Amino acid sequence: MNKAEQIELLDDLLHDLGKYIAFPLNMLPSEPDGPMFQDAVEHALNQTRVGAQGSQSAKSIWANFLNEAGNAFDKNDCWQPMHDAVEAALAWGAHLGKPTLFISRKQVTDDIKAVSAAIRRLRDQING
Amino acid sequence: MAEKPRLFLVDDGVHYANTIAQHMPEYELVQVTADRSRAADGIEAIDYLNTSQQHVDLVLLDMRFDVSEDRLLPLPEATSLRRQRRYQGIAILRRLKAEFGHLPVVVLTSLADLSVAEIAVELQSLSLTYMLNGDDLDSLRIRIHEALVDAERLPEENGIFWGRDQAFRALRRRMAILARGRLPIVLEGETGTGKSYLAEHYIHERSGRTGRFVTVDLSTLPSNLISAHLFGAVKGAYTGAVSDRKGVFEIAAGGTVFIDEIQNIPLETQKQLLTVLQNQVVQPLGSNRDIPVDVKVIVASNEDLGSAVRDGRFRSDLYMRLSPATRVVLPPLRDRVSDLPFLARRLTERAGFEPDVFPFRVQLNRSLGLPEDSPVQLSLPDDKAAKEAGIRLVLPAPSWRRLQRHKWSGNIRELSMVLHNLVTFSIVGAVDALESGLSLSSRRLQVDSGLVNQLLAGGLEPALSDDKAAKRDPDVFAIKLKPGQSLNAVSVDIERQYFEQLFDQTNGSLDAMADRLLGDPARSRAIRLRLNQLGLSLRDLRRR
Repeated sequence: MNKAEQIELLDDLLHDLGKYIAFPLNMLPSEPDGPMFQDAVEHALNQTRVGAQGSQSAKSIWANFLNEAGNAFDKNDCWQPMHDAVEAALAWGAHLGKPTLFISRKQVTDDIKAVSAAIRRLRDQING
Repeated sequence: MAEKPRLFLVDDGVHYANTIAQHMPEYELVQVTADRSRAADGIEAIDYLNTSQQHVDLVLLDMRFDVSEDRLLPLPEATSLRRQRRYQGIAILRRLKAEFGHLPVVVLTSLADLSVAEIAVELQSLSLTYMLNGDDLDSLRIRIHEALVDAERLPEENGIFWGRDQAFRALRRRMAILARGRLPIVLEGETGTGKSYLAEHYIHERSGRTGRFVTVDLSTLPSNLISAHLFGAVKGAYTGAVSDRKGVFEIAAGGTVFIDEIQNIPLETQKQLLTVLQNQVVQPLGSNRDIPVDVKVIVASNEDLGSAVRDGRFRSDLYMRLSPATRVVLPPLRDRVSDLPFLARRLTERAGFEPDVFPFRVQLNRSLGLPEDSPVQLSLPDDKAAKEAGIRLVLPAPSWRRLQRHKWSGNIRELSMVLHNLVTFSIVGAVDALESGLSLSSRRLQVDSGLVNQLLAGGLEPALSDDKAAKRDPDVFAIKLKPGQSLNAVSVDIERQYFEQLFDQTNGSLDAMADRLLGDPARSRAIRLRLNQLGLSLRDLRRR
């Protein structure tokens, strides 16, 4: 995969995953109640992209990306941090429906919002 | 209760629709289909806006559209299907601006998300087009509110043509803020961009100051009198100072001093001005007395003062004191092309009320059975439904294209002169025809393409820049500008010189002048009328 193709792939990921995994949390009012927050996280992880192509979860967008990327990014310093950031965000899926989710809402929010920045760092590194 | 503003969402996904429905009850989303409050792609959006009778206040437009290829609007610069989808919002935006230019559009992306710089530049330059600062609820709220307020704001205010150009309208906000502050304001812009008018009728009026607005045009003052004019002088301070005189800083106490053409200020006077700005006192020439002054200072220049500093013509300490942070650069007309239709229409209407045109317009209105005060209006080629309120000047498409392509180095002042002449010749020509026994049944007067060409060819650009060219090219005339006159006086003076030279060039033949200017030698009467209006008598012209 050449540099231009790598950038294209990361731009898609930035949009599909980076933007939309954080979207429901970004659009919350400043003091959301428990059910509202739970609902936003559920949408962020399970209905990340909903459009003409149907509904896609964050997990499936990430899996598709890994499939397409192969080992194209392995040699980049920012790859592993990005990988970890996405996995950390996805891991909150196991807490859906549990009170821990709201108790840890700051950490949940930080982890989910960190995905976009991590993708952007890798993109910038490749772009030089 | 007022109706909620109606937002038209163009988005292939549901996220924004859900967000607005859930968190922004102050707005109503336009129902596009029975089960969707959004258009899913550009084709559906354009179809809806063309066919629906429903009112739309604002468009919210996504950038990326993951839709099938046959639902994409063409985007020539996108090299792959992937890119067609990623930047599909641009293709939709272009169609929206071309067909529904009055609608404000909030693009649902931030500049940081656009990896193609040229696209970001295009977006920023479009009128009534806004982008988000971030992907959060507040950014969305702020942009929607801002766009709706801007769209409602009248494009003209107190004689100032703000138009719809986003960059120019942003200056309004900036100037309104600067007007209330204590810092001086630097206005930069080409000649004819409206610096002095804005200084007086916008900044001064919003400054909250009750004192006078006093203008000093440094290009009209002998350099040895500038200091006395600005700061005052006592009797005997210089040859000819037969009595004490107040400087403009004193005269404008509590008000505003507008120093035009500041780049012409002599270096020794720059030091004095710096002292005044720093200490808020003036010392009249020949006096040791400090007079406290409290004025708002606005300076204007038609060149970049920064480059004057680099050239050593302007003191850097004065430049810094004038505060580059409060520099406002007025864009030239050629950078406000989206405003050209509005400006052309308004300046045409205004020309119909000018004293030299007014009686002919009234006469023509009467002859056509219109109320005497009906305005003159300009019909442009893309006008879909022209209102028949008065006399309409119909501009042919090639002439309109010519106006759009013109450089307008004299900016709005030049446009105003061209349209003034266009109105004058068209109205006087029609009156002339009526008086010759012809009957006019239509209120629509076709503008002569030849006249437009002549007016543009005789414009300021070549004449001002190359005196020798005037001798070589019969279409180029040398015009000498006299500084310090009012805009109207300058306009009349230029036209008078133009007619004088054309008179000489045609050996005094009014038929030949009519042929050159109107494309019809039989319309010499219109030329004679215009000469009279300009105060040029045939006897004097022939005697010269």
